[in-house]
Amino acid sequence: MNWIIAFPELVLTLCGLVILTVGVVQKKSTNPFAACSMLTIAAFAITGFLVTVSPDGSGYEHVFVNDGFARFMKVLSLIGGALATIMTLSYRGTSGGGRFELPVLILFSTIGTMLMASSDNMMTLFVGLELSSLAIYILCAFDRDSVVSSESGLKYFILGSLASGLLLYGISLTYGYGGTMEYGAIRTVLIQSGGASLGLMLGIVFLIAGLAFKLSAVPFHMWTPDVYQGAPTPVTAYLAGAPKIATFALILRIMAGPFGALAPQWQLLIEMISVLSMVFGSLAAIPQTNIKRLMAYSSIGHMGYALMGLAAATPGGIRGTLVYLTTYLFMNVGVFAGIAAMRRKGHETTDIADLSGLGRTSPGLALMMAIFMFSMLGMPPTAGFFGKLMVFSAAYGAGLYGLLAIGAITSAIGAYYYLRIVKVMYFDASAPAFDTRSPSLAFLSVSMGIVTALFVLVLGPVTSAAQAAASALIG
Amino acid sequence: MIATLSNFLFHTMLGHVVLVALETLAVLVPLLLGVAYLTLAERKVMAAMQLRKGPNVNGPFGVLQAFADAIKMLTKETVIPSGANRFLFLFAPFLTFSLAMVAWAVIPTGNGIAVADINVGVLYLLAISSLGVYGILIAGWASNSKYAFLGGLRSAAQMVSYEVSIGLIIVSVLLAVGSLNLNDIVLAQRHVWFCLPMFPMFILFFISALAETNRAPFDLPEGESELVAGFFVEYSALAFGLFFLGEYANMFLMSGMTSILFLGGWLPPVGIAPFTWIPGPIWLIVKILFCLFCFIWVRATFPRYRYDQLMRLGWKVFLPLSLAWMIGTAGFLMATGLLPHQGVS
Amino acid sequence: MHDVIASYFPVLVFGVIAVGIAGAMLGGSLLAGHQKPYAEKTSAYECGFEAFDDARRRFDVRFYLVAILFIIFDLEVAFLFPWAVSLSHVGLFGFLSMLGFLGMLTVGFIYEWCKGALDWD
Repeated sequence: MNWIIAFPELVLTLCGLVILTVGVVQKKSTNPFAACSMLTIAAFAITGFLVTVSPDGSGYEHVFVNDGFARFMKVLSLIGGALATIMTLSYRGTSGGGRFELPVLILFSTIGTMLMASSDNMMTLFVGLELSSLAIYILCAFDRDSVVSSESGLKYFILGSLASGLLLYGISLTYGYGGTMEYGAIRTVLIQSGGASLGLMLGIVFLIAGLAFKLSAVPFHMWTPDVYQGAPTPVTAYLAGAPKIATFALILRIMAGPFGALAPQWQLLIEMISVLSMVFGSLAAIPQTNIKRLMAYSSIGHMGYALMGLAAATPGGIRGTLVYLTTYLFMNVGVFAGIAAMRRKGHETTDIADLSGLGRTSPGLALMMAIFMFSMLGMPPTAGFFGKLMVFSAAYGAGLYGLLAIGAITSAIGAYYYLRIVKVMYFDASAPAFDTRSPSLAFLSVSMGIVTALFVLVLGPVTSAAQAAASALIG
Repeated sequence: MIATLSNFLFHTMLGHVVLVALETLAVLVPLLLGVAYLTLAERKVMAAMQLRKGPNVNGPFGVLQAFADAIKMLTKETVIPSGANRFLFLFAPFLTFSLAMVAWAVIPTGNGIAVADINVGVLYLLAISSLGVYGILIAGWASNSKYAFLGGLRSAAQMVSYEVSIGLIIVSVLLAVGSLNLNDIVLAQRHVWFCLPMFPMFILFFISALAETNRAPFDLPEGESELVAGFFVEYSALAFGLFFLGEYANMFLMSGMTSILFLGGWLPPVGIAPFTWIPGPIWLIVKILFCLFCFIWVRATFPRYRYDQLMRLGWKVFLPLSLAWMIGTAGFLMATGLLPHQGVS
Repeated sequence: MHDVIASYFPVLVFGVIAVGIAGAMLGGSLLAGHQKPYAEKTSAYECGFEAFDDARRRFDVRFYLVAILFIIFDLEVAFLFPWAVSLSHVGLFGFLSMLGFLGMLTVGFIYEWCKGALDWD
């Protein structure tokens, strides 16, 4: 039993349990929120280190695998989790004061995402996805005294259970028609039988539908705007980062691995989802007045771009997707750190109009937000440009010219609403200034701004790591 | 004649059914008589403990009291409250009473002698006794009366709370047995009854059994001083009688489980001459009667618990204790290599 | 396999007979008793008052909490049953795995305890 390959997950789980216990045994008078958040960040750091040094291998009766791809995705998830936890340090609910369950739930959800990245069996896929989702349902409704937060949690929970149902149905169809739940064995079965039966194809469609829901890709996106808007801002930042990356890990792994032989069949499906997401994301974002809703539609569009790399179904495409996700993670956290800083007299304001004149009242924050917006639309030399460049060139290489053209057009449409925010910040009449930013938010937006603006400096290492990850997958 | 009969009973399908039916009646008839007389025994024992006489009018020493009660209940009017759900209202006592009887199908009365000697007897018992909570919840809800509703809820919460520790205690026993078959559990106690090495669990199980059957000192759901009889406040005639009998049948069942799990079931105390002459079923009955006497004894002795004390005892005392004991047992058996190697085929 | 199913057959017969007895008792009582209902008799008992509203209304959320806790711990027990009878086969690794599982549940238990989910006042 090669149990050591799951050592990072075991360590993180243990840390989570310890932090939970430490938090709950405190006396009523002391609020362990800050301490627990710091401990959680430390746990993420330790686990990140353990992940980078963890050995390759497969264990636990072929349900768990560790390879270059899993490590890459796990490190991204952990970074996403850690950044969101840093953001929670400044979080105050409607009733004031954070509760220590917030970082602990982020930690447990991140364990789920790590499990997803390492899944080698439909069982691990489902358990990981549920572990990550269940924690997020609670996180979305974390601000118990706020109606929108409860609404967000409930909506996500109900629609998420529906998606889990679809996913389970897909898994059972795959198991029924393929005779196994192990990725490697499914691949062998498919190669030997020289194609998939109708039942198995149906299973794949359900699997993609279930996973596309978690990605918030069209046509399974309907939960996204309400959930993004209602959930506490650090939770939204987390929700848009680690879980989506892990879902991408799943979808890449099962499409490239067990269903790799069926690429011509599922390629069209992924292409359609990608096109719909890009078009819907960019068009629906235009009339938005709430910045969190805007970011929700923006994330729908971004998932479309990232899926473009998968639609190409080449190692280059997967590398492109991985780099795209990396850049998206950083600029996304940066934007949400900016949104979290939008507070007047202790109350959160999330209208785009509230940003008016930010260039004069708070030039630092405005500059960072402008960098993120330019990156989101893919302006060189920011991070977003390189991500887009790589998926576009992969699509070009695979001959998906239609997809490429639509991607280019929707990017141009996207430019409109991203630049509108820049315009509001710099050219509209000033609104009252925001409260002073807390150090953690200032740190996050500045550091993410630097990473986004100067991504070209780390482009080499990131690309080669993504290349190694992609070749571990397709090899 | 005898050959034909035995051929019919042992070699034809219908004969098999008849045989099983006869076995069933051989268990149920004594059980129902026992239940009827348990109500009388309870009144007599409590009376003796309180220096009273108890029922003494019907027949010598009141032995016909049980029948008098039965006839009275049978001929009373079954009042169905106007707001009640008629079907569920009548279904609840029916369910409670049926379940209390059905559980007896697997109780072994001698070596390998049980109506159904199934491989997962303990699970069956646990499942059937868990279902008992439905009868009470349905009764509480169907009556559409506030007292009944509250009583039903309280009773359900109480029963499920103690069921967790009952489950953990049973797991402790199973660790030492290595089989889910009730006969194997009894046979594993050939050398020493489990009530000695697992004495704390024996006590815990007995107390949990009191709570599980809603008996004093845990008879909160009925709490006549506050809930005027709880979930069966609206019942009358034999619908009430079925609840009453079901509760007493459950006491029998819990005593039976205690005897099998901890008191060696049908085994004599020591396997030497004068004890082994007495047949197994007698030993089992003696043990069950001893447990039932303890049930009544406790009722006559202890005052009723408060509801918060009851829940605290269940969740904060019994659950950690039984869990710790279970882990300790497993660890001890692992460390000493005493784990049984039967079962799991 | 057939033997296992056959060993459950008596349970079925037992169940039918038990249900029959219960049904006969209930039905017999309905037939034997003299039924004469009227409005006052069939109204719900409320210490002599008129019942002022429907009894099926909201109740304390604690009952729900107890039900949820019960499900968690009963599932734990359900996992323990097969483990307990096969402990000699699964060996030390099986023992330690279950210990890990129980440890995790114990942390959950401590959390509930400290959060006051087990208090009833």
